[in-house]
Amino acid sequence: MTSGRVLHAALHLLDHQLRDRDGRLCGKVDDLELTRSADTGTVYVTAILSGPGRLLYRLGRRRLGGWLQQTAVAAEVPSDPGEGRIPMDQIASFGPIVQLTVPADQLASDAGEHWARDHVIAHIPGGRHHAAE
Amino acid sequence: MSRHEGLRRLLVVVSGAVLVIVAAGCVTHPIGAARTYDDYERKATTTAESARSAVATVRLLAEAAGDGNTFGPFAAVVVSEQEDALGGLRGTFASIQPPDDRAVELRDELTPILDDAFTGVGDVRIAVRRGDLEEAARRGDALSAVSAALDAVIEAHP
Amino acid sequence: MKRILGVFLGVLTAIGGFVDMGDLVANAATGARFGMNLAWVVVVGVIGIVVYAEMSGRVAAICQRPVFDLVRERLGPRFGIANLVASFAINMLTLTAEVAGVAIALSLVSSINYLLLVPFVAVLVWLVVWRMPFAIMERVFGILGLCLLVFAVTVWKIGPDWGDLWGQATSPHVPSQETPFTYAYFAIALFGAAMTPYEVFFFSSGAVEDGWTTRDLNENRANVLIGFPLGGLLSLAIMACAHLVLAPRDIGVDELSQVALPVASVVGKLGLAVALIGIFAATFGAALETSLSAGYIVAHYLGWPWGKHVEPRGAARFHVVVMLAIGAAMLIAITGVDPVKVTEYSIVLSAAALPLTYFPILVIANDPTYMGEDHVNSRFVNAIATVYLVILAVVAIWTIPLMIITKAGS
Repeated sequence: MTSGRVLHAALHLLDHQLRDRDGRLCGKVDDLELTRSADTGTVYVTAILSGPGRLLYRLGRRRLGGWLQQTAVAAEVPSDPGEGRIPMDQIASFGPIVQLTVPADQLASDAGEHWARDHVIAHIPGGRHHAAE
Repeated sequence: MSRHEGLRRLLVVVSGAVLVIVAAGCVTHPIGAARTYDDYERKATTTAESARSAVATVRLLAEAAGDGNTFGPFAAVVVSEQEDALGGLRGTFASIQPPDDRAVELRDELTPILDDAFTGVGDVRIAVRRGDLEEAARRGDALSAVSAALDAVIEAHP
Repeated sequence: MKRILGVFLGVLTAIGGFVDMGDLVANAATGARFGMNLAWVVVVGVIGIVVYAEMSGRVAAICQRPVFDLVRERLGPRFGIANLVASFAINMLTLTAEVAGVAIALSLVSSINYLLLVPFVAVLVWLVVWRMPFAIMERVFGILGLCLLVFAVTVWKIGPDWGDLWGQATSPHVPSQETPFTYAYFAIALFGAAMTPYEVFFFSSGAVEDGWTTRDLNENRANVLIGFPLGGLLSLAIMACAHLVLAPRDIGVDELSQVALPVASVVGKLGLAVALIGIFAATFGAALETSLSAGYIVAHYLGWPWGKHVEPRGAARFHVVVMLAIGAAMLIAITGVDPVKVTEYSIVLSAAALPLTYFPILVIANDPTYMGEDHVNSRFVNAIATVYLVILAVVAIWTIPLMIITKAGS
């Protein structure tokens, strides 16, 4: 019964906004990694999954999702060993916004942002200026 | 799950249909063939109504131009737009195959009016582009006969 | 004092920003065909947008997150994606119409073929999105849009039989040469034009861009309660102009230039110039709002950094989406599709998708986890909003059948 409730609370995390150490938005909680403890049988959330393809995978588009994940990661991995896996110890707080303790640069969910920045935006003059007064 | 699939398929079909309608609608007016006289008559009336609107637009514009109420580019664009529209209407109507003799009669009645409208509007355009606004106003006035003729066709074939 | 000025400017912006290509075309076309017999629809539409824009502004001010950022987490990814795809497609159609509208407005003062101007307009729109600060962008085009007041001046100068106008508006009937179906179809078009979805996408995202907080709730209320209804009056003035000048001459509105013709004929050269500036500002402002909205809704769904309050480098994917949207709109417009037809379809299809846009706003504005107990909808607002949701559902169901029955209102 308890495990059910814990799991329910965790599922509540799904689709919430991620924010990195410096307050930058960096994707949503696309999926969760659940692990069943061998001795107690309790299911734990061991990581948040976020990044290209993860949502498609969760929604049942497994092949497309897996492919997207591999291509994106292969094309532009920053320095994310987990390929979109954010372990629980990198999470500072939960809530409508999930606060992380790492910078966005290290997340797979930011891979597309890197690509767009380095291959498109960096080539256009004025991309550094701040538009708001 | 199967209910979901069905719903999704329905959604796909509906959005596909909408797309086709939109695409068909945005490309000029494809007036199909007319099988009966009634069909032909309806198309003739619609054509006459559109032509009446175009001619009236040009008359209103010419009047305003004559009174010094417009400026050159605006007047030129407005007249050209309506001239294009009339050209299109004339061409489309001419290409509809009349299904019987009565339809041929109606065709012979409307076609010359459309020709007059097209030429008359062209006259206004020439004057406007030359900057001769008084002449444009006069040419616009002259279109009243065409308007009356179109009115007559529309009234005779409601 | 500065605060009052801010609110005042905000209201002016809301008035001028209310009208776009859809409103221009829909109001002039209905005025020419139905007189003031469909004026009530504008009133119904304005009340709807007031109620829902207030909610979306309030959500943004309290959560510092725009409503559509919350749709996925509150209503799930499947609903979210359906919403996103439909909204994005319709928004593209609207953006195309606005870009073409700007090009036409420019062609009317330069007599260069508008198709040649479309790429230029696209670049101009992108440049403003890329460089101009958000608040200035919003104000400049909103306030220039006030030039459309010249339509009200035109009506006043004609000196119409006010009793007759009022009579048509208050006891509407279907004109003899029209069918109930075309009447209903045009009603839906007007409704869609008044409640076009991008207005709330932009309004709530704009509130976040402007950094609204709980302290700005009054500005939010002033903008929607004063600004939008006055914007609606501009729409009615455009409708009345078409009714008074175009309808007696049996002119139907097929071109954007015909919308301005009554002003030229009644007020003259200066009036015409002012009207064209107004049309330019209204369509250009809306082109900015719709292109930004394309980026907003995608970024909100996927949790990307977004907006003009960060530097473009910091919201790279957002800017790429905006650029692609502008580029796509340019390509569609440049094929020579009839801009007035694109506009009509964009507002009618908007009408069909309205429940998707407005339902989530109502849900979130009632959720104390986001709003706190103090700022959730009052019972009064919920009553009106619920009635509107029913109206939106009925409209959505009828849109496509009516489109087919009336052959898109012809």
